[in-house]
Amino acid sequence: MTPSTGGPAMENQNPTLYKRAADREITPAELDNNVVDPFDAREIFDLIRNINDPEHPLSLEELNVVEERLCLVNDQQNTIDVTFTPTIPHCSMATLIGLCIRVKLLHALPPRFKVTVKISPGAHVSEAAINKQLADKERVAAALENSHLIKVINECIFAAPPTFSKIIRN
Amino acid sequence: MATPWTKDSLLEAIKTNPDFCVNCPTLAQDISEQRLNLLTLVEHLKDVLTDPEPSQRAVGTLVLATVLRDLPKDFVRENELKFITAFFCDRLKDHHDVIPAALKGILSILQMKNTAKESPAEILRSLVLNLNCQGQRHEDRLVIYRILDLLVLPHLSSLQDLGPDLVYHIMTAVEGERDPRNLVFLFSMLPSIIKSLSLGHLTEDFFEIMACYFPVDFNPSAEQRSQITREQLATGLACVLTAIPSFADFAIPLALEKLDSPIRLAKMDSLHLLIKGFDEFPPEKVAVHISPIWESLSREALSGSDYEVRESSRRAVTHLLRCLSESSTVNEGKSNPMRQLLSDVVAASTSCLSEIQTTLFMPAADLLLAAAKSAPPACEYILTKVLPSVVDFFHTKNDAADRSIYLRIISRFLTVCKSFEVTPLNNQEITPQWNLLLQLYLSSAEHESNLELKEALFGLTTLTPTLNSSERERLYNLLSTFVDRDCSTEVREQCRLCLCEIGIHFPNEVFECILPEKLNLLECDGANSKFDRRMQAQCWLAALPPFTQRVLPSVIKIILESKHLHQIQASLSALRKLVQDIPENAGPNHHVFVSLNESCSNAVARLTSWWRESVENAGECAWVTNETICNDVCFIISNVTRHSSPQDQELVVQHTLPLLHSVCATFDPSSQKHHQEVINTFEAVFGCLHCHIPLPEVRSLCCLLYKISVGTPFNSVHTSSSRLCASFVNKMPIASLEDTLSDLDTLLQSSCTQGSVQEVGLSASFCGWIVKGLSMRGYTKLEMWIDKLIKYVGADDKHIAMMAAQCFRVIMDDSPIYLNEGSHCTVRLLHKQRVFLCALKIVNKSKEIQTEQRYPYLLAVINLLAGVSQSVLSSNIGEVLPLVLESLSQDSPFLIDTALSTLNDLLTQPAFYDSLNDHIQSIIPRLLPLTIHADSMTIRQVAIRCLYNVANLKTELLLPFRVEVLAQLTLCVGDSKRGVRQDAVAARSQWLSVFWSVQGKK
Repeated sequence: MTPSTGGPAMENQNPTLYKRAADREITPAELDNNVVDPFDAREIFDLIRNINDPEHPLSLEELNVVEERLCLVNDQQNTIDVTFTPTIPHCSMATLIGLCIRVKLLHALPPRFKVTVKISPGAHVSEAAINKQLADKERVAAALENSHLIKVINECIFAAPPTFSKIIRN
Repeated sequence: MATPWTKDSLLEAIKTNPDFCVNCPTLAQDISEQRLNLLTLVEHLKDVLTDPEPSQRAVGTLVLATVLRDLPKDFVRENELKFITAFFCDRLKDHHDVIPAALKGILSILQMKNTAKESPAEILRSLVLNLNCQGQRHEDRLVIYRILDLLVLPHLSSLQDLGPDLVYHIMTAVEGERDPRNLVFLFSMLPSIIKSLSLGHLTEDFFEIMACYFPVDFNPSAEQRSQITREQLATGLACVLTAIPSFADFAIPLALEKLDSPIRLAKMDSLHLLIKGFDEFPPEKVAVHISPIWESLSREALSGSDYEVRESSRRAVTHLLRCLSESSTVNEGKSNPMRQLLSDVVAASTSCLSEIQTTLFMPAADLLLAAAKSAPPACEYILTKVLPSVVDFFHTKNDAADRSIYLRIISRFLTVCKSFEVTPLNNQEITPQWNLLLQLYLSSAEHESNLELKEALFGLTTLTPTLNSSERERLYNLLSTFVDRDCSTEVREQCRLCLCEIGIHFPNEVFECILPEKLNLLECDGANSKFDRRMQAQCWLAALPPFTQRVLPSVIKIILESKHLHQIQASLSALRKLVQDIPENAGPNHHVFVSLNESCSNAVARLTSWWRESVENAGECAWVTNETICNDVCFIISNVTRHSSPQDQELVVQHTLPLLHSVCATFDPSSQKHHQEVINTFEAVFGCLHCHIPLPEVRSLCCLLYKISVGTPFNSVHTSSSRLCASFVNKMPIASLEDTLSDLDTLLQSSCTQGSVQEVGLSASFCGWIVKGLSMRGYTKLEMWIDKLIKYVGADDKHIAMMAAQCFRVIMDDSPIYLNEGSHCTVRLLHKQRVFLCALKIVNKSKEIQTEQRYPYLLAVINLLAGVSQSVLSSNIGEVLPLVLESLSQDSPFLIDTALSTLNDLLTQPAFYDSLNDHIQSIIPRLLPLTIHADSMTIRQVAIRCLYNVANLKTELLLPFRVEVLAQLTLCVGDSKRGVRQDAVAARSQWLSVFWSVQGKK
């Protein structure tokens, strides 16, 4: 492991990069005001794919930390389960990444949804502890009171420029 | 001649006029014109110069200094200057109030031509002995630096005796300077001084005095921002720190130390300093530090935190290698530093090239490319040592996407090789590697994947000039297959580039082999798609001058003579692409238009006649009803006409004007005889003519066009005929303009009284086009015509009023095809602003109308805002903004949508922030209900975007709305439409981040 420039040592110096998914195609139904578009896995994935990794100037999608197939949505029952995969099993940033995903979804989803954020089974040495931490509402709320922590989280979730939908006028 | 000044008058003037000392009106002129003696002036000033009060002495000294400044530079004689120098040097011992004036006096003396030889040393000595430079005010320090600037370089020979003392004096003067304005001057003055002096044992001390500013940390205040920038200081400092070779031993370690800093600015400044140093320092000096330099640069270039740092590090590597390549030892075998560094670069990068998916892959490839860009030997080294490994890596991959990335990287290297002329033609030694790459590309070009194919073709295009005849034969066969095959757009584009490259280097082979054999149109055996593709490829080649005259006549012939719809369509489409790709200024591709007019015997006239005949015989000519063909014909005709010379245009007019007259005269709205196709084609010819092309009977033609415009049931015919009439009105000479306008006015008035609602509506729209044509040419009585249009807006019938209101959009928008500068129309500067100001009365008119009937007026105002410049709008924003906001509360979704788009445009322009800040209490409450507008998702989307942009306004004004807006956006993130939800997430994040950043700052 070599020291990074001007900061603490990076845990994963040369992570594998993954291709970004193409932008979602707009269907004619999505342009019809009278059709209801249900929340689906791709929509949730689009919300969290651009969150920046706390360590690298790369998005969670590029590092394959979040994947569309690991976002499970049940629109009728108002539940969303997001599972993420840290790049290495001893990644010390795993909790922070989980918190970033939680906060982003808190900002971006209507309050009717119950959101669960977990680590992919077997992807981290402290999986159980981190899952417990992320599921504990009070601990999450307490973490968000910590000004230093919220600064780091905000830097990750506001890093990417906003994406707007296409306006198509008939 | 009488002396204009007596002692008393001079003293009186000094006493009563405070500006006298700074300007000294006429004193210098009186002296230079011999009306006053310099000595007499000094005698007159005696009392003030010897006054016990320091402020009086300062005034006297300043008057003398100012007079000397304004005198001609060779006026004062050497012995006079000697006395004056002694006087000013003596004044430096005086009270501190007198010193600034004395310094100005010395500065004036140094600008003189007759300075005595011993004066510079005397001045320097008295400066050093009597003054503490950094104890003076900043403007006086600047004068001292200017004195040093004028003292050292021009009088270096007389100061040589001072030896190291001279350097020491300069160092003492400049050490500790803090004022950015003075630093800018120092950084520009010092490099040349340092270069001409021998710093000796003071080299390191001098460097340290300057190095304390590195990296520059400067945040200019609001008023300084326009005068001095951080970058200006940083660039100046880098010039000082790299001024002489002996600074290399200090500058390089300094830059490397700061490069380790976590602060981005320090990294960037260090990298720029290194780059500058590598350009300035001799290779031997740089080579000493090669190992630590590479250690730092490799780290930043491979895993630097952001793109710019990595990019600058790579640039530094390029400059470093370029510097080392100039070393005398470069060709002395393996031990030379450049070879050593290159092998380090290769060792660090090559291993990262094995796996594409890793983060270091692209930085490593870029680093190698940066090394190759440095010098031909480096390029050759990388080609021979690295590219074979890359080829090996390529062969281990099966995925086409991965293989295409390797091919792209190799192609980038080949482009560099080509730019340095490192090819087998110049260097036989690299032939094996070159052949290896060629075989790689040729085999990849036979691959099925479009991705890989595209990259292989790109590489082959680069290699084309170096191919031998058998390799070229193989390439031609490959290209012929791709042209005939169904390929992706990117591959076809690459085919085009490759074909053009062959055309440039081997034109004879294109004439003998490619055009008659590989792209033969007769051998298509009824295969339509094959004909299409070959026709397209022929037109690609037609863009190159040698082939234009061979290809274009045959293309035109096929269009005019073929009876196959498909062949006509393919030829028109290929020809359209050819004339479309030509730049507006008709630069190097001008030959295409010349050829269309000359070799194709006036192609426009022939095409127009052919089209008219086809329309007449629509039963036999099925293509007339084909919309694509119609559009292509119009496009080709208009584009060729607008690029033709006036003489060619006259020829076209001679052929086509009688046709236009006959069409207009025989127009019958009830007939279904393809009016659209005919009028569109004529607009394509006549809408693009130069202003001075004579058009007989244009007056009657305009009236006929009016009749077509209001009589037709087709929208496109109405637009084409109105726009063509507007184009005539815009270009016609002023003499016939008045008559034509009077005819049109009569027609418009009669339609108002006698016409149906439909006809009056179309008349209003026609009137809008005429206003556009007139406003563009700067017509003096434009306001009268705008008033007519406003009258239509006030019509009782809603349809007419709406048609007129929409005209303002037509007037303010740029017309994309016709009626613009490209179509040779007269376009005056600021014509839209004039319309805006003339039509602004509509705002006041609307206030007289009842609220429920204001709709057309509101629409007209919002349309007016579309094309007006910021500067004009900002002075009237207070007047129009209330109407924009009122439109948001109307029922019509169309009006709301248009008003929201206008408001959103305003919100994205910082120039309007101040005005919008004043209306924030009206804006947000009107936007909030629109974010849940039930009928239109577009309204919801634009309203949310407006809220997103509102967050850029003053945060303290937003604060009262924060809770309300966030609650509303929470509703929006649960909207039924996905597009709305996406925008709502962006807006909500923006509002949260604004307040978060405010809290963060606190």
